[in-house]
Amino acid sequence: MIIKTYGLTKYYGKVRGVEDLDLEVEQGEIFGFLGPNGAGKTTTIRLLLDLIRPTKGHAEIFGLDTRRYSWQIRQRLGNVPGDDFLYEDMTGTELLDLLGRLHTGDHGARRQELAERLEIDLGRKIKGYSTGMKQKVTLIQALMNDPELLILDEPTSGLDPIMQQEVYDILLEEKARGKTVFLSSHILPEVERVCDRVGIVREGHLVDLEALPDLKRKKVRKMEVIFKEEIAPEMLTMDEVEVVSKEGRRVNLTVHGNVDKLIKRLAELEVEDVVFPEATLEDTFMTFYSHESHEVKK
Amino acid sequence: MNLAIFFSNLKSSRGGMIAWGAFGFLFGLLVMYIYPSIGDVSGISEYLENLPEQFKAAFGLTGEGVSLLTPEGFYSLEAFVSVEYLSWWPPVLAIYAIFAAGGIVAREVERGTMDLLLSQPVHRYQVVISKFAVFLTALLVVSIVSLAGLAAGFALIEEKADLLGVSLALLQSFLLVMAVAGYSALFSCLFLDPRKTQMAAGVLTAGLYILNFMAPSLGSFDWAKKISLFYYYQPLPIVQNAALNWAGVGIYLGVTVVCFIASLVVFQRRDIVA
Repeated sequence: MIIKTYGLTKYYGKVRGVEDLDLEVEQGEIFGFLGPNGAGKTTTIRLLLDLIRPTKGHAEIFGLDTRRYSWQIRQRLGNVPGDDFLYEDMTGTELLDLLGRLHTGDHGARRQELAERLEIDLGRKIKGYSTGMKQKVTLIQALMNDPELLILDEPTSGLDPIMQQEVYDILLEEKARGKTVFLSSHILPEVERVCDRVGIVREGHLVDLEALPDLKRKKVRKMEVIFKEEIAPEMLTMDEVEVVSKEGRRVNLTVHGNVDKLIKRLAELEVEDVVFPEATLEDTFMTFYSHESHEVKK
Repeated sequence: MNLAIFFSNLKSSRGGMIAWGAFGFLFGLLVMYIYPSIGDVSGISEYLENLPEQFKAAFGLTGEGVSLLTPEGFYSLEAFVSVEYLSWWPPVLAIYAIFAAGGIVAREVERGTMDLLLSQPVHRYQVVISKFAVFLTALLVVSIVSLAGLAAGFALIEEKADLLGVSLALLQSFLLVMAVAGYSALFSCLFLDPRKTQMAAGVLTAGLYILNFMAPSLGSFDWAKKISLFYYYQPLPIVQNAALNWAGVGIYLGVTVVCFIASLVVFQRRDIVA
């Protein structure tokens, strides 16, 4: 087990960060840590990194207590913080030199390779970087020392879709090399692309812990269909589909899980247009987790 | 100490170091430049002798066997440099200490860069020690450059002055400012907020400074002046006797060490939350 938490709890005064969090992340997996903004994802990561101390419970990484052996643990992990706060008066090279010197080993070749893949000029001052470029620098610093564990807080934030894909490729390569990735995100498609297993956190509690196919089954998507002629809503009534509203020829639906039956039914009707955006985590949460107990399901 | 953090921070603080060093150098040069026009002004002896005790305390002109005047009745160079330069130097450098040492961890926490630094394999005490060492290095450089400015000023006006006494006064002021930096660093680790740190350290420093020259007016509370760090910094006796105030040296080092160790303990235990 690479990460294991035991009833990990953090309160900021009376404000709850996370509560009774029991997590297990195995070696060689990409674990998605999902939840809406403010759910407690960053608090969990900060506890794992020993930046903040638990109110109750404890955590282990590599089998070592995160408080007692924090320094030893940080020698073996790479971290992308949730915010892209960097030393603005340095160049990308200067920052990576500084952070590289805090580790042992030579990271020059790996750093160069990552800079080329992420297409960033490290010679420029960081204060002139865009949000996406800063994110690339934080990704390079996390990866360049060849860590056994990557703890990534929203690692693709600010990146364009092409660069996002490049990051996913890098993460999958790391996994293939036996590395472990703890990926915090609020973007469901991102997690679907790369994660083996997910933990879902909401209002400081772990509300679900499951393999990705189970999450996909739970996924909730909205669909808007404009028919050529007005239809009776009952024509779309079936398992896993709910008619939310109907205005003339325009029908709004929610689709739970598999979309196959609905597509087949639509093929029997005359359809003018379909709007079917990516599933959002918020929609899934609204449907599945808004009233569930805070019991962890394994 | 971590040398990578030390040199990186030293590089980023070079602007402040150069600015304060240039200020110290030019201030010394300017003060010496105007000495010839003031040193033998008629009536200066009566003026200096009749200065209020609070003023003398504030400017460090009190002490056993010190005199503001030369045997010929002129304003002595030692007294002049003590009043016009050395007495001002610690309060001015204290401002530098409050901002620089007060920001050693609070500024990085506020900017969010501390998260990045502390997620690397580096101990928290290494961060505090390295950053405090950068401040002390900068303070040392500024003090040496300031001494060079005074020496250049002496040469400019072709006056012979006891550079050893002036150096010792600057050393005593260095230690005083180091003590101010010590409690500023402690506030920095306690509050993790630059504004709160500057407010607390600024109010404490101003309070101690005012206490030093107001205490003689407080009658039976005259002893209170000994609480002030500034009480132990009397530049004129140090310059004229070419001897440090050892009680002051002990107190400054004691305050610095106690506050610095407290800083390490507090920072080790704190949640890093902006």
